[in-house]
Amino acid sequence: MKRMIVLTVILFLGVTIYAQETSERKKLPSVNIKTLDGQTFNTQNIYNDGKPILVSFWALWCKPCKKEMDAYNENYEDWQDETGVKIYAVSIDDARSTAKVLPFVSGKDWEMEVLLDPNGDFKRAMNVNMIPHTFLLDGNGNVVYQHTSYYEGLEEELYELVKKVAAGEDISKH
Amino acid sequence: MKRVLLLVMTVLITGSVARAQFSEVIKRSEVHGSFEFDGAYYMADEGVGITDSMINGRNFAFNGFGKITYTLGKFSAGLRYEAYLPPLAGFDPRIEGQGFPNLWAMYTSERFSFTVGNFYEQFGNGLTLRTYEEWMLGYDNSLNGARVTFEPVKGLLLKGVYGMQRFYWTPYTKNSRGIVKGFDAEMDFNQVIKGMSDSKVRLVLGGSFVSKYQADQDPLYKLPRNVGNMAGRMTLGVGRFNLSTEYAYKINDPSAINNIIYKAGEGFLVSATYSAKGFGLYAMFKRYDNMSYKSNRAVTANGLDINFLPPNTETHTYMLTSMYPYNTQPNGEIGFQFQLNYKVPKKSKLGGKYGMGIAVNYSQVNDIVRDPVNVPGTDTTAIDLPGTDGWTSPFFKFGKRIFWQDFNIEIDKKFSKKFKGTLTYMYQTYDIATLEGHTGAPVVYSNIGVLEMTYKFTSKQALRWELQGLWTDRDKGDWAALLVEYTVSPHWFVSFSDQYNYGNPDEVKRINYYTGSFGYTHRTTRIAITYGRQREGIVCVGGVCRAVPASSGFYVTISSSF
Amino acid sequence: MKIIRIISIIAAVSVLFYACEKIEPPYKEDGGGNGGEAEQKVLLEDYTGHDCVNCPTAAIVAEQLKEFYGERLVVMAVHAGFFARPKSDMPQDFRTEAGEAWDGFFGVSAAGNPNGLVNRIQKAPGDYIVSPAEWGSAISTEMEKEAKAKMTVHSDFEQNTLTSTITTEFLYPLEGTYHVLLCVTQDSIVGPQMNNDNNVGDTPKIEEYVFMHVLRYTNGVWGELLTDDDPVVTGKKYVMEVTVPFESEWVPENCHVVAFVFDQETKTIVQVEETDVVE
Repeated sequence: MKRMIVLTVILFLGVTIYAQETSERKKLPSVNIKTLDGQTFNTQNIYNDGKPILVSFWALWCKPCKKEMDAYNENYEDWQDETGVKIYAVSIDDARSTAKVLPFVSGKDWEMEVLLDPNGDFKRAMNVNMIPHTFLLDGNGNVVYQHTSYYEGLEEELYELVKKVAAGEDISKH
Repeated sequence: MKRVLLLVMTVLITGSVARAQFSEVIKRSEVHGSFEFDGAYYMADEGVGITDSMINGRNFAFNGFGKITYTLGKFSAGLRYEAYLPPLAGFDPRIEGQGFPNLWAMYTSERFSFTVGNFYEQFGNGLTLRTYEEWMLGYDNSLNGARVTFEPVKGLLLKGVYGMQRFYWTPYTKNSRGIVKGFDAEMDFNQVIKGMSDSKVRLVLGGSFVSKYQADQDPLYKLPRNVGNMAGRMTLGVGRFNLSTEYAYKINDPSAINNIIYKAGEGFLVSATYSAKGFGLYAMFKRYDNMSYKSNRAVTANGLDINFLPPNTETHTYMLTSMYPYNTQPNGEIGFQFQLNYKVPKKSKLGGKYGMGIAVNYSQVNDIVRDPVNVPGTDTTAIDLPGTDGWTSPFFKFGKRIFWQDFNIEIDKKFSKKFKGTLTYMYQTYDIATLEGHTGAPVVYSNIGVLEMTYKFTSKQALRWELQGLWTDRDKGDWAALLVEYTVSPHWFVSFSDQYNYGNPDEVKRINYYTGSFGYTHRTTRIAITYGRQREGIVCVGGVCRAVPASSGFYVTISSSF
Repeated sequence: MKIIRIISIIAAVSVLFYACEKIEPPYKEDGGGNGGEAEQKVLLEDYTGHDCVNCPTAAIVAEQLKEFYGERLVVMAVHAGFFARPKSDMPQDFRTEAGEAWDGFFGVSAAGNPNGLVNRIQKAPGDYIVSPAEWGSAISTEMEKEAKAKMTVHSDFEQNTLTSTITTEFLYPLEGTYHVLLCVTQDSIVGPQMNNDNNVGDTPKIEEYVFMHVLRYTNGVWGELLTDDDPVVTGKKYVMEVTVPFESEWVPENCHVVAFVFDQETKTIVQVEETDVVE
C-alpha cells in the first residue's frame, strides 16, 4: 500500500514538474534568519534594486566555501563597479560557532553581507544539500542559476553569467 | 499523518490534472526538491583486518533521501522519503528501513505562520529546544505536531510548539516517548522601541520555556512526569563590540544519561567579540551541569534529544586535525575559547602583494567540580548515586580533569596569481577515556602540522596538495597524511589521499588508508565515486558524534536539487 | 481574528505552566513483589561482558529489581558479543553457544552493551531490546499481566549430573509451537571486570568483581519442543526431563536452574521458573 502511495506521488509530481514552463524557482521563500548582530532578518528583504544578486551558503568549517568567498571578495569591488551585483553570504554555522562568524568575517575583511542561518531553515527551504551552494538571482529576484561545489576558477565562469544577467539576458538555457 | 499525505497528494493531483482550467494556479505554484543517494560496496580487506565473515553478506549499503516542497502563495507543503537499505557503516543500525519520516504543511502570512506535521525549530542557542537534521550523521529529531509563530508587533516574535519527536522508524505509541511543548519569545528592542531604531546600541532579549511529559512506570523510583527547561538570553551590540549570552535551568530530570539523579540542570553560555576592519577577536565561556534533556528518559545513545548543547571547540576539517574530535559531555563540563583573526595588510612587508591571514585559536574544556550530597534515608554521602541529588558544583570552578585542550594557529598567504598556501600548527590534549569511552586509556597529547598548497595551471585548472603529520606517543602513535587533488572548473575533480599510521606501536597495525576519488558536477548535480579504505573514526557535527568502523570498498554519492 | 490569536496563545502558554513536577526526596518507591502459584514471573536477561565498562552499573539495576520483586523476577546474565571475548589480562570465558546465538538473533550487543531482554517481548516487530533504564518499567508492565501457564521444576543433583523435571501446565488454550529451554546459571564467580562507575567499584577495572546469574549451560539454542498439541490443552501437565552434565568449574551450591516456556515463532516467554540446583 505504501509503495502505491509512493509511486503515485512520484508520478504526479513528475507530471507537475514536467508541466512547468521552467523548473527554476521564482522568488526566494520567506524565512526568518538572522543578521550578524542577532537581529531577525526575513529573506524577502534580500534585495538589490533591480541588479543581480548572489546568495551563497557557506560555513566556517567548509574549506571550499571559504575559498569561494575569498575568490568573490577579491573580485567584489570590480564586479560591483561593472554590474552592481550584491553578494549575500549565508552562514549555516550552528550555535557552536555562530558567534565566531562576525570576528572571522572581520578578520578576513570580507565585504559581502553576511547572514546567519543557525538551524538551517533557509538552507532547507532552498533545498541545499551540500555546501558550497550558490544561487544567482536576476533583477526581478528570480533564481536563474545555481551551482554546488567550488573549484578554483569557478568564479570567472559565474561572473560571465552575472554580467549577462545584469545586461538583462535570459540565461535559462545555460 | 496519512491525512497530511492525502492533503498534499490532493493538492498536487488537482494541480496537475486540472492544468488547463487552473493554469493560473499552476503558474503560481512551484515544486522544488532535492535528493541524495549514498551507496557503498564493502569488500574484505586483510590489510585493515576486515574479513568476509565480518561483512557477513552485507556488502551493499545504501542511504538515500528525496524531498519535495510544493508552494502556492502563502501555502506550502512538503515531504521527504528516506531509505537505509541497509545503512552505511557507522550509522545507527536502528535507522535501517524506509518510509516517509517527514511530512508537513505550512501557512505563512506576514505576521503569522502555522505549521502542522514535522518541523525543525531552535530556541536561542538550543539549550532548551533544537530540532534539526544532519544527513551525514543520520541525525533527525524533528518534532511531529504543530507550530505557531506570531509577531504581534514588529520586532516581537512569539513561537509555540507541540509534538512528539522522531525516533528512527519507531512510530509514536503512548509510552514510547514523551510529549514536548514549548514557547519562545524574542524581542528586538531596536524595532519595538521607536526611540532605539537608530541607536548605536543593538539589543535583543529572548526567553523560552519547554516542557516534556512522560509517564512513570518505573517500580523503583518516583519519576517526574513533567520536566520543564527554561532559558533567558540576550544579545547586545555596541559599536565594534558584541555580547551574547544565554542561561538555562532545567528542573529534576532523572534519566539514563545522568544515572537517575534528581539534581536540577544548568547551562550557561557567554561570548564576546570585537570586530574591526581586518581584525576580529572572540572569547567565550560555557558551563553545562546535568543538561541532557531527552524526550524519553531511558534512551542513552544519540536520539530524542530535545535540546542542543553547543561545544566550545573549533571544528577541524583536515584529515589529521579532525582525528580526535570533541563531543559535549552533558553531565558536566566547563570551558572557554579564544580566537583572533587578523589580516596582515596587502603591500606590507609580511603581507606581500595580497596580504596574509593569521588565525589563532585556543580552547579548553574541563570537568566540573562535583561535591558529594546526602543519600536520602542514610547518613552517608555520595556522588552520582541513583536516587539522590547527584552532586553539588560550585559554578565557576574548573575540575581537575581536563577533557580537551586545543591550541592552533593557521597562516594563509597568496604568493602569486597562481600560487597560494596555508600552514597550520595544532597542539592537542585529548582525554580519550572520557571522549571516546576508552576507560583507562591515558590522555593523548599530540602535535599536528598541515601544509596545504594550491597551484593554478590555468584559470580553470588547479592542483592542490596537503601534507599532514600527527605526532604523539599515545593511542595509535604517529600518522602522516597526503592528499592531492586536481580540479578542472567547473565540472571535474580527481583526488588521491593516504593516511599512514607509521608510528603505531603494533607493527601489524601500521596501515595505509588510501582512497582515490573522482567526480563530476553540473550545476546542482554532483556525482562522486571513491575507492579505498576509510579508517575507523568519529564523525562529528556540532557536539554530536558517531563512531565509524573501518571499512574498505567503493562509495558512490549522487546529489541534486531542483 | 486578533482576539482569537491572543486567546490561543494564552491558552498555549498556560498549558505549559502546569508542566513542572518537582519531586521531593525520598525518591524511591516502596512496595515489593509477592510469590504465589499462578503468578506471572518475568525473565530479565542482562547481556554483558567483562570488557564492558558500563555493565556493572546495569548489573546493580538488575540486583535492585531482583530485591524489589523477589522470586517473581528471574535474572540471567548472558555474556556474549565483543565485550565478552577473553583477553590477555582477562582470560575467563563466560560465553556459551546459546548465549552467542541469542545475542546474534536478537541483535543485543549490536545495539551496544549493556542491554537486555524482558521475557523476550517485542516492543515493535523485531525490536526486542530493552535498555537498563527501561528494565524497571518493562518488567512492571509484564508483571501486571495474567499468568498463562504454571511451571514447576524439580531437580536432583548426584555425581556431577543434574536431572531436572519440568512440569508445564497451561491455563489458557494458547496457539503456537511451544519450546522449553532449560538453563543453568551460576552465582558468585570472582574475576576481573572493567568498570567506569566509582560508586560500584574501582575504575577502570574491578579485580575481584562478583559475577552473578552467569549463564553456563542450555539444552540447545532454542531448547526442546514441549508438545505437538496446537492449541495446547489446558490443565494437562506437560512433563519434560533434562539431564545436564556439570563442568568442574561450576559450583553446584551456587547454581540455579532456570526453565522457561516460549512460543518458538515469536520467542515470547510465557512463563519462567527458577530453583536451586542443590535444594
